[in-house]
Amino acid sequence: MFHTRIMRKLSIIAPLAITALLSATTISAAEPKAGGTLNTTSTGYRTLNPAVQSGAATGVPGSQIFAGLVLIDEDYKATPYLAESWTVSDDNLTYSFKLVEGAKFHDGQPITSEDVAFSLETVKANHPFGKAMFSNVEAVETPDASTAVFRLSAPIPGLLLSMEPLLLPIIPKHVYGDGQELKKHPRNMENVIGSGPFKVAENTPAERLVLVKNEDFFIEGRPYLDKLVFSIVKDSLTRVLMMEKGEIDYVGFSGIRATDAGRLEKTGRLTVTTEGYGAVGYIHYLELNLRDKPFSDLKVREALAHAIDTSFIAKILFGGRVNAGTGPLHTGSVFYSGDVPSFEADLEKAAALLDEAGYPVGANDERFSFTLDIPSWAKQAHGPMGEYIQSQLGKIGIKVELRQAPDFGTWVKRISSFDYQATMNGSFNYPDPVIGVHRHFDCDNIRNVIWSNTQGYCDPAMDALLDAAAVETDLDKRKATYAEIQRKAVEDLVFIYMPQDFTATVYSDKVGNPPSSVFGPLAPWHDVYLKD
Amino acid sequence: MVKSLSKRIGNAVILLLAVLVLNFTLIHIAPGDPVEVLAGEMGGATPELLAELRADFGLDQPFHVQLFTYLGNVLQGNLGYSFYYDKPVTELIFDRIGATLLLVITALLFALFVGTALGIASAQKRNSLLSNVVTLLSLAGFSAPVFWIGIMLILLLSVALPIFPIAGMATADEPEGNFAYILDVVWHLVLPALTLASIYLAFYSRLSRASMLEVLESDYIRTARAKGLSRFLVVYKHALRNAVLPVVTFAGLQFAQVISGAVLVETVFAWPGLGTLAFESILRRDSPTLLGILFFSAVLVLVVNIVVDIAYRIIDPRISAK
Amino acid sequence: MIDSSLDNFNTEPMEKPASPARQTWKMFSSNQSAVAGLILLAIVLIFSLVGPLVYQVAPTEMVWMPLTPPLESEYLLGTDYLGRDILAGLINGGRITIAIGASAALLTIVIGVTIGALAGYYGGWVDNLLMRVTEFFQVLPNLLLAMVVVMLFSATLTNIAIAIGIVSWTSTARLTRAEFLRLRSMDYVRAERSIGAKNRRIIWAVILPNAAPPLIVSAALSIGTAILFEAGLAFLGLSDPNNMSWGRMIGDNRPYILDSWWGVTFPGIAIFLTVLAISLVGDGLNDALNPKLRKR
Repeated sequence: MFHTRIMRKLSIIAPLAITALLSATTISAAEPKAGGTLNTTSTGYRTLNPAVQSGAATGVPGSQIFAGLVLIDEDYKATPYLAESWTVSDDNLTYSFKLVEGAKFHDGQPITSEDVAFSLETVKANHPFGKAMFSNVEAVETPDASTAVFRLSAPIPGLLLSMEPLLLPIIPKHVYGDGQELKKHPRNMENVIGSGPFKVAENTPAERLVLVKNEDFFIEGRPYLDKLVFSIVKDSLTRVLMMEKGEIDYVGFSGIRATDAGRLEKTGRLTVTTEGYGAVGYIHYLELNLRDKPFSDLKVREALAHAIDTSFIAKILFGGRVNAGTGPLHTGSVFYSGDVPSFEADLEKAAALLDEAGYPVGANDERFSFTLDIPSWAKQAHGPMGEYIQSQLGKIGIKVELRQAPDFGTWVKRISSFDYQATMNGSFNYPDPVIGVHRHFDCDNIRNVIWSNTQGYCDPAMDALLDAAAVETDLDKRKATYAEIQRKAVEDLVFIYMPQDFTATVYSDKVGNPPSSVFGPLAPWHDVYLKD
Repeated sequence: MVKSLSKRIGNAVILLLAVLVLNFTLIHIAPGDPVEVLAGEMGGATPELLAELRADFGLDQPFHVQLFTYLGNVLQGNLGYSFYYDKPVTELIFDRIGATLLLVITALLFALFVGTALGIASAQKRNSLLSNVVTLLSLAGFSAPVFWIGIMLILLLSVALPIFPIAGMATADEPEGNFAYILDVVWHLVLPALTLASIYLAFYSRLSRASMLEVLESDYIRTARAKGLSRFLVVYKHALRNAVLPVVTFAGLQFAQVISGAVLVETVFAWPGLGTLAFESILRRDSPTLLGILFFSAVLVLVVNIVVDIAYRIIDPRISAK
Repeated sequence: MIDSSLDNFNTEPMEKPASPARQTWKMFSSNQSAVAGLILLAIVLIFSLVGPLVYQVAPTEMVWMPLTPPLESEYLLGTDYLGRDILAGLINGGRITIAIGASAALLTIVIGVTIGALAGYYGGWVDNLLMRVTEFFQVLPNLLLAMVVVMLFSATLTNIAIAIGIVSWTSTARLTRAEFLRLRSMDYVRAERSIGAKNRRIIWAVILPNAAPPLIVSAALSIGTAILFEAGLAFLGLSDPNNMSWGRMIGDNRPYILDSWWGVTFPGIAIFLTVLAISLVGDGLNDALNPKLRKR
């Protein structure tokens, strides 16, 4: 009933949204100019070293401070960065990188192949996805100071994608190679020596991070900007107000809500875009513990899928600015396939399935009840989703008790020790599905680690598909395998997919060349400039 | 006076010890392991790293060993090491305390002066318009949630009429020059200080009005008036001093609650002080930081109270004579 | 957060109050603002207790487009970010808010009166010990302490009420102690003692009723304080996600405030009016029960 009433109202709004989108894509071509300070924000970080920490909080400033071997463009193609060229052997097992001549760290020491080898070891051992990305890299050889040769034990189709500064930052061996535990190294926060376009000038964790132009950057004439100022603002409302007031020029992972986007666009100065997050692929889902009743029963999961109207959440609660999310892959991924079973919104069908599964309506009009955990780290997405699910399932006699996790650790503990019934959750695809997608489906990855296969899904057929996709170097064949993986994941309802995250970049019309690759704000900003 | 002061300080030390022990216990029986939080923030960690981190922070020791180690460290002025920031807690606190003190002291002084003035003025003429307005305003300040007042002020004076900055303590790109910087901070301070002051403004005007009324009706004031002293002299020389006494006492007693208010106000205005630090530490199970803040505010409250006590004796010498 | 210790100073020493309830009511009803407060309080109570029977929109139901402004649909006060009816939220949240406020206040009074009575009556080391405990709670910022407690045991309605009660009893304890100190040497107490009455009887049956007037005022005011406290915790994200309360409404709607001033303004006004009503009634009671003011 109210669905239709709301949808009718929505049809009036939709054309407006499209016009806004079109006007946003007109980009004026002006001559870049050097100089100026770019104001941006951060929600706060505990380390500036992306080699040991994933996530945008570290990644955005980290990619400015540290350079990587390659950059990835809009089409997922690698382009030279710290490596001026590279060759790949025919068997895809040897990658040989030639470093830019004369590149230096911020302390003036030369960047050598030794540092590349050291960085790879560091990431492999310390980064949360280190093993997923590089476990097949057997060794990095350093025949001379400017050549690094990666020897692989098996092909890694997405290897170059993982050479972006975000995922393989080149860190100085003479600083971090002193034997201290890398995850806790003091130089991750203090006196950080990087290799990228900007140097750390001031790091006051509660207030701000100031990065200044690296005059000796290995790309001539870059960066354009003199200074980047990251104000630490944790509160999303405050951030929106600052953007509206013009106190922020550019911010990626802006943390704004879909409802704020229209308001910011109305200023006429600001552009809000969800482009540039393809390599991140931030998706949300309802995770059910598949070990125990009632969710071990596929019929029950199907009932839930019919009761939860994902496109309603996307259109109404997130203002139609996000995609509904059909499976494990983000719609921005090259491997995305929409050819998956769909569960139309139908409460009666849901009720019938529950009857069939042996959960008839009992006392108090209740079939069964369960506790749904709401983690604290993406409350603005998971809160409304959880409340919607609670209200919707209530209509078919399932009582949902929401449990707000008081802190990150409590939630992590519950989920990673499998001590939960259901939780709202979300994760990043990352540029290659091997990194961000396989972890949720692999039988071997049922581990006491968060964002692994915590729900306990295991199917040999799925494992075989995953193994095949991991080493397939032919793009089309690989796409076909991933299409099958997506179909199977949805068929088995491993998760119930929610709308994708509203991850948005906001920038003012003063900003020229806003980062536009699939890594978006996580890529270096050396081409960004300020117009007059 | 010296004797009673040293007794107070002795009391304070025992109290602080109790604060340390009880808070330590409370936080350590809490579910949720700080190392798990840290591992989560790192994006997952192996059991080996977890064990290593636990050993690093001494969390693998039995409870009483941890407690005594902590007490010993505090005696040496070491409040421990923040799990999250990987920094000594004392350093974190000293980074933030300036912002909080600036906010709290500005708000309190403002509330104290304006509130007392309003209270005394309204006590002069009961049932006058001023008196009624003050009563009403103080009730209003009492009855509205302080963070809500803050949000309303932002909507009014930052969004609808963009006069004041929305949040933070300084403009992101700091203006050059000391004077410009100070001006910038003052500009950012106005709304948070006004918000925090609102509750205490209500409080002090009510309090000073009540005690002024009482003093004005007391025998010695009547005698003074009867002796023909001018109204002005009577009010400001005799009555004022006595009316201010409870206000000063309360400033001390309420100080702990002012810090509570600061947590809310700092959150609304993203003010980089101890309040926001405390809130974050709770969310991150950063117990050393949280313990440090609780301890530190207890120290602050006790010091303020002892100072108030001394001030009290100076204002009213009769107390020390007793 | 302010605690309601103001009454320490408002409450004048009292003679044994022989005045009947009628005299108090006469005094109270002649006080215009107190009567206004009482009427306001009655309206709030009717709104929250009878309201759900009259206005049958479920507060959790998504009824209309999210963030619809007031008066633009059949839902008078507009809808929130999930398209839930704000009015339904106010009506149903009121019950929870008042329940938390009242039970937290009850706990405040029980702890405060017990500790204050024992300290004031026995004096000596008992007094010394209990006052140190009181000071302990006074030197810690009560909101921070309550936050820790709520996090410890998770944010359920009961735990929130308990946390508020645990951290806000100190002023009641001091007030009770002062009353007991004053009353314990009164003639009628001595008389009781001389006929061999037990301490327990003297404390609870003899002194307490005589100390009641200021405690009643304090109890009334602490309901208001507890409601503000709940709102503060909810604003910081510490509220029960399964129950609507005014504080939770403000906390939940705050991120959307730029698009929906109504989402946080109406629950704020509801809190404001309720606490104001309680303060007015408390003040009225204070004046009515206070013989010294009565003379004026």
